[in-house]
Amino acid sequence: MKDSLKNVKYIEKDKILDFIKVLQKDYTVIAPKKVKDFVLFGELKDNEEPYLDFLNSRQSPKEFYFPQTETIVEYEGIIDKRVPKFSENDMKKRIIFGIRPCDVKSTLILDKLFVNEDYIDDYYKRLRDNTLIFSFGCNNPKTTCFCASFECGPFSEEGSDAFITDIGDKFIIEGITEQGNKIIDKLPDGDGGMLKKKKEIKKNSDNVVSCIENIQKIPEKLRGMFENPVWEEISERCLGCGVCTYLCPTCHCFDIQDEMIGEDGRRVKNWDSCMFPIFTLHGSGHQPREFRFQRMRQRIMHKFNYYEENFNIIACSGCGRCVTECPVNIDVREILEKIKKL
Amino acid sequence: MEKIDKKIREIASKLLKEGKVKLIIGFEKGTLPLKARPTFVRKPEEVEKLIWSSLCENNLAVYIPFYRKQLDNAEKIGVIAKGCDTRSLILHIQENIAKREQIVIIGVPCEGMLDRKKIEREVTPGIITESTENDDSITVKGNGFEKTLKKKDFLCEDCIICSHRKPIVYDEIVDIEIKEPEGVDVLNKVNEFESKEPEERWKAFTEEVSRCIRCYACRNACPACYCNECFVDCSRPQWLGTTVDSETDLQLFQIIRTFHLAGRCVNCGSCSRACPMDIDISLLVSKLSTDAKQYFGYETGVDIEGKPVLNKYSEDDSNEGFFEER
Amino acid sequence: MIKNSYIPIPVKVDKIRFETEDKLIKTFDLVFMDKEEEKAFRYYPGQFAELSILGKGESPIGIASSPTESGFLRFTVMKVGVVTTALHNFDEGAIMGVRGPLGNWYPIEEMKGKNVVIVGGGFAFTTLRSLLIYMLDKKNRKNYGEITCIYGARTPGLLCYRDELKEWEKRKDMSLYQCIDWKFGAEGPIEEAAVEGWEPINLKEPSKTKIKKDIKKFTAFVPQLVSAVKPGAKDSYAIVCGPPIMIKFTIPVLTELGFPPERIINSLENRMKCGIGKCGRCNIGPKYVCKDGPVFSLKELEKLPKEY
Ligand SMILES: Cc1cc2nc3c(=O)[nH]c(=O)nc-3n(C[C@H](O)[C@H](O)[C@H](O)COP(=O)(O)OP(=O)(O)OC[C@H]3O[C@@H](n4cnc5c(N)ncnc54)[C@H](O)[C@@H]3O)c2cc1C
Ligand code: SF4
Ligand code: SF4
Ligand code: SF4
Ligand code: FES
Repeated sequence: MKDSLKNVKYIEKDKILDFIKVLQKDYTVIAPKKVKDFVLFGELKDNEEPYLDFLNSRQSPKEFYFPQTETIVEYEGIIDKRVPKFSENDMKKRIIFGIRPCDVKSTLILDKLFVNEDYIDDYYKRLRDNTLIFSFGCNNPKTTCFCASFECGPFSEEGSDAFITDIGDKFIIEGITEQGNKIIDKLPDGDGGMLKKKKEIKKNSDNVVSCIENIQKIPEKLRGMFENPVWEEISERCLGCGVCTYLCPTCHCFDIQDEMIGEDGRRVKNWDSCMFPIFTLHGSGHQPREFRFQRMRQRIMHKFNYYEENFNIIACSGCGRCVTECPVNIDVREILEKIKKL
Repeated sequence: MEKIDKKIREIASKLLKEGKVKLIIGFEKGTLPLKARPTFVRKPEEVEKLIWSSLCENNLAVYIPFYRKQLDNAEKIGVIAKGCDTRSLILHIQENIAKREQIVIIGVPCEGMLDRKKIEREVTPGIITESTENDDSITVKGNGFEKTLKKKDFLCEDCIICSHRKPIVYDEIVDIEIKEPEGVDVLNKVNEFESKEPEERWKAFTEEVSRCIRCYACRNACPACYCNECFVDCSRPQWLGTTVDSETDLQLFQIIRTFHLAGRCVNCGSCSRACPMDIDISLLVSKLSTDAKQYFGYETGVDIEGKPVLNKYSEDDSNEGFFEER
Repeated sequence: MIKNSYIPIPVKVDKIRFETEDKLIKTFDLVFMDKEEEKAFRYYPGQFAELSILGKGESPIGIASSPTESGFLRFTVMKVGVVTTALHNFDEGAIMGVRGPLGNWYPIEEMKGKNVVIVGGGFAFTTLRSLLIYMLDKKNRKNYGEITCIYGARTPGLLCYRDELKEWEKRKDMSLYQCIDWKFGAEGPIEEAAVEGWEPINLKEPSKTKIKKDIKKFTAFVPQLVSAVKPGAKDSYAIVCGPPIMIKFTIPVLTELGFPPERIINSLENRMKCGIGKCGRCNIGPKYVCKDGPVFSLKELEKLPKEY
């Protein structure tokens, strides 16, 4: 990331649609949209404005690299004569516009799993390679945001091609990568005053956002805690649903299923969750994780110990989704604090 | 509220000390503003964490099936229960999950629970950091704002139409006076939806469920959904596809689940509240409850001596639900 | 082009036969439709593959053939669920898919110059067969010391690869000990041969059993037979595969015989889907059984949580 490349541009708020339209000539634009009373990321249609007055989306945008249902191969004909059909069409490049820094961080976390020297998930890689990231600083972090714990933060630019800040009447957009810069090149140049405003906003957000101190110590701490009774204590109220894992931007577990409609079939990857008992149930009936506490332990251990051990990074970006949406208020921040104290 | 907290703690402490129960399921303060959450108390000294408020939205009966092993060993469990919780507990007793004497019901009359999301919406873009509850209002504070809201304007949808706020059965009771609201009925909610044209209803239904992410929080938060193997998880035979891009499968999931809850749902609204995609699932299930009432005069969990509507047959049973032409 | 790891390679089912008398286990020989694919599919004993039936799903199955046998891939499969039932319903000539080879393999390099004790139970003998055939191969035999194989099943008819067992019985360059389970009375196992020709061992103190030179078939549980045979631990590796209960009781016997944990080798089974360490299903602690296993030494396992 060379500083000389750094480019500061701006758009008046009421011109945002014009900019989107320019982007849409070459890119599919994925942006926050309002759905009922909350926000989800989705592809913008013609003349559709992004909904940028939001804190964060209910679901993370991970589905754009790792769709909840994704076809691996298709096939047809009778069962003992089928061969896989697989075609890779050219895909239009995409821009995820308005994605929050924690969700960008999560993408970087997922990259380590899906694209590494052992094996590459070609489906993930293709979507990832064809997507540019225009991330969006958070002027109003939620009370449940704790991204600052993870070498991230409300204005972290890591992983972005361009970075958007809301400075009141306008958005400033800073180019970060060469590609990002090229795309925003035609926008009017920003000035020092705008950057100063951004700095103030950033400072405020950095002050507001919470941080779990010494999170780096958690993986080590967890190493000896597999047999600790704390797991039973923290999981007793858990309902074993898929909310925390499906909304989490870093959860990556999936299932592979076949599906037939008449003679046509497809094999798909579907999201799955370690919180569901059937996740680990053997064909023989053997069940290595019979109890809720074992599944809760797996979720926490996977994120904060196993993942770190394998990929040198904790699999959480502090987005807070699991905290706000769990039907019984199981709070990962509380769990981490508890673990620290043990 | 403090009076109720105190009373609950007293009862809980007594039950534990006297060895009447080993475990009491109740509520404690949550980690988020506007949130209370289920809690589990096993020692008399832990009762201090028990609380009561208008945020005790979960139907605690949902936990009973998790303790089947303990129940099989003749253990007793105490449950702090509002009207709807007691109705679900009765269902469990009728369905032989537990014996009546194994569930020690600590009844708390309920004035309706608050809908956190409604309140948050009301103060947007403010972010709530604190809340305090008074008799009929709640005050929320946040970054530069403070607002006092009338509770009755922010009740959960299903609490608005609840006509069984008092515990139906109990072993201990927190004796506060509440009035059962008049003129409310689950039917109100259903009728409004049913008055629409079929196409419109189908459109509304399909649009709602198209957002489903199959997290099954609706199922898992539901006290009546406790099958050992849920139909969505069966692989032999596989009743349902597994994807989220097949609209039919999303629709089927909700339709089949609804039917499995016929005469078993108590309209506590846990499913709708648990849904992270804000799908109003309880509307669908409510329809079956109203049918049970309309055609068979049956309401789930209001009569502990009664038999579940689908478990009994009488020659006078109405045939209407089956043969009505639409 | 790099191969997409999720797409199965088409193969044809060349031969199918029942492996056990209960007819629940069948052996399938698969041949590649494309010679290039066959060449590219280089595997070692202990690895597995996802058997892929389009329309039904995939199952991870250990490769029972040895890389020294060319021209086919062999799998021995028990009928349990959706995929394995569909596979059992196939006729010769059916077309299906294989994804692999996956996972790690037995330490065939480290074991060079060492004795190898193979301990197997039931139909979990599949990858052990692969290993045995591999080591017995003319080119490889000289690389290994003594080869001892102890294999048991509930009844004689439930032993897999019975034709091959007969050949191995006769071989001079290995010793094969087989056993079948005790008959059970009200009080537990009865001290008499369950089936004629199968010698009982000392039930109470198996290690005191006098093993006669020409008798190699016993009525015993596998751990007892190991205890009776007393394979030497010096410069030896023990490879153990079988039902969890067998493994549980065999390991202390091996330990007592002096096998250190790093030379007791197991192959694990966990529910799997992707087979390549992505879907997050098969982990034991930080290790993925599909990618970091299925072969683990006892020493490695001792470091992992007991969650399998
Ligand atoms: C490394 C390894 C080697 C194996 N080798 C053999 C072998 O040589 N012969 C043999 O008969 N069996 C073997 N198994 C077990 C075999 O994989 C399961 O019995 C089989 O997957 C059941 O599939 P199903 O679709 O018929 O069952 P279902 O119960 O319908 O299972 C559905 C899916 O769940 C997964 N699954 C269920 N049970 C298991 C399990 N025990 N292990 C892994 N995945 C599972 C599979 O993806 C399966 O397709 C092995 C398992 C592993 C992990
Ligand atoms: S969202 Fe909450 S209840 Fe559901 S599985 Fe996660 S922790 Fe458990
Ligand atoms: S674990 Fe919770 S806070 Fe962390 S990234 Fe996942 S959803 Fe966000
Ligand atoms: S809780 Fe909502 S999103 Fe989850 S399965 Fe139920 S309807 Fe679908
Ligand atoms: S089978 Fe998917 S991670 Fe091992």
